[in-house]
Amino acid sequence: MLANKQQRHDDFRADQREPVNSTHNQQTVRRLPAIAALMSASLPGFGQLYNGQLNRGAWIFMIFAAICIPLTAAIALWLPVSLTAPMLLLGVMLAVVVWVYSIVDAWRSASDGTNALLRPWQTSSLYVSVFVLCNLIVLPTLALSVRTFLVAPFSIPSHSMNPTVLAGDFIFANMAYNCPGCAHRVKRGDIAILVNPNNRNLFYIKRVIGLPGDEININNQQLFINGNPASDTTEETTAGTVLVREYTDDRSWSAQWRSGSSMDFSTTVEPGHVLVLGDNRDESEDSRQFGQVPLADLKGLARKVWFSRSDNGIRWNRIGLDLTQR
Amino acid sequence: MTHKTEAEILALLETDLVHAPVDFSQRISAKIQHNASTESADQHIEAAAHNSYSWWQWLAMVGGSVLGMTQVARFIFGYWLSVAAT
Repeated sequence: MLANKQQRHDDFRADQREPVNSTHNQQTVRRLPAIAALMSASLPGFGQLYNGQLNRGAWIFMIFAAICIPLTAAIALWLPVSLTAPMLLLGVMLAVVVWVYSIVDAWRSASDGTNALLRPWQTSSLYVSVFVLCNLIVLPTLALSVRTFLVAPFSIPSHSMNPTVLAGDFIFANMAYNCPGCAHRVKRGDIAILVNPNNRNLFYIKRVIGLPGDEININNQQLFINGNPASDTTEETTAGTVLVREYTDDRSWSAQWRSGSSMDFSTTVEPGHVLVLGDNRDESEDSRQFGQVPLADLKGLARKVWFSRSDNGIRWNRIGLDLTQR
Repeated sequence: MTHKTEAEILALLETDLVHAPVDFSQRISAKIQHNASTESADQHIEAAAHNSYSWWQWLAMVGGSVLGMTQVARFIFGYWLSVAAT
C-alpha cells in the first residue's frame, strides 16, 4: 500500500514537471523533408512552422530578418568608415548562414522518421498568411527601410566629380543624413547624394559648397565663400588640367579645371537651399545650370568606395577609399 | 495542470483509491473503446489525406518556393544593387 502511494506520488510529481501532451483527439502526420526544406528555402523559419516548431521558426525568422542585415547595417554606420563594407559583407554572410541553417534544420527535423502531432494552428490558411505577411510585406519593407534610412549603394557613371569620385566607382552612402535626429547635418564640403531637380527619378552626386545665406563667388578658378578665399594652391597636370585645392574649416579637396578655362560666377544661397558643384568644374552639370537645391533633396552622404573599375580593369587602390574627408 | 503544494499532494496521497462501480466495464469502458476506435479510423483517413499531395499542390509549393527564394535573395543581396548617381 505504501509502495503504491509512493508510486502515485512520483507519477504526480513527474506530471507536474513535464506535462505530457495527450495524443487523444489529435492527428499525427508524417512530415515530408522535401516540403520542409522548400518552405524554409522560401522563407527562413517556415519549414520549422510546418514541422510544428512554432517558437524555433519565429526565432529563425527574426534573426534572419531583423538582425542579420538591418542591425549590421545600423552598426556599420556607427563604426569607422573603413569597417562599413566589411560589416555589411558580414551581414550578408550571416543572413546566408541562417538561411542555409534553416533549410538543413527543417529537412533534418522532418526526416527523423517519427510521425508528428498536427497542431490545431497548422492550417493552409495560416501558412499562406505567414508567407504573404513575412515574405511579401515584412522582408521588402525591411529592405526598403535599410536603403532609405541607413545605407545605400550608388554607382558613378559620370566624370562630374573627378578627381575625387571617378566614373566606375561604386560607393556606399550614409542615408541617415540631413534629417531630424540624424547624426550628420549638412556641412560645406560634403559629397552629397541628391535628387536631380529636373528629373526626380535620378540621383546626382555633387559637393555642397554653399549653405543657406552664403555668398559664393568663383572668379577665374578661385572659390570665395562669404568673401573669404576658399582655394589656394594650383597644380598643373600632364593631362592638360589644373587641380585647385579648395578648403573649408575641417576638410580640403581638389577641384579640376581645364587649363586656361575661366569662369565668373556669383550668387547668394537662399534660405532652405544649398549650392552644389561638381569637382570637375568644366564637365559638371550643377547649381550653375539647374540652380540651388532644396535642403530636403539632399538624401545621402557619400561614405566609402567599396568597388572601382575602369576599362583597364579593377582599380584596387581605390577600394576602401574614405570619401568623408576628401 | 493545476500545480499543488507539497502538503496538498501528501493529503491527496492519504486518500484511498477510487473504487469503480461493479458495472463499470459495461457502462463506461465499452463506450470509451467504441469512441476510440471511431476516432482512430477518422485520424487514419485525415492523416492519409494530409500526407498525399496532388500535382497542383506540388505546383503551388514549387511556385511559392521560387517566389519566396527570389524575395529572400533580394532581401539578402538587395542593398548591394547600385543605383546610378551622375
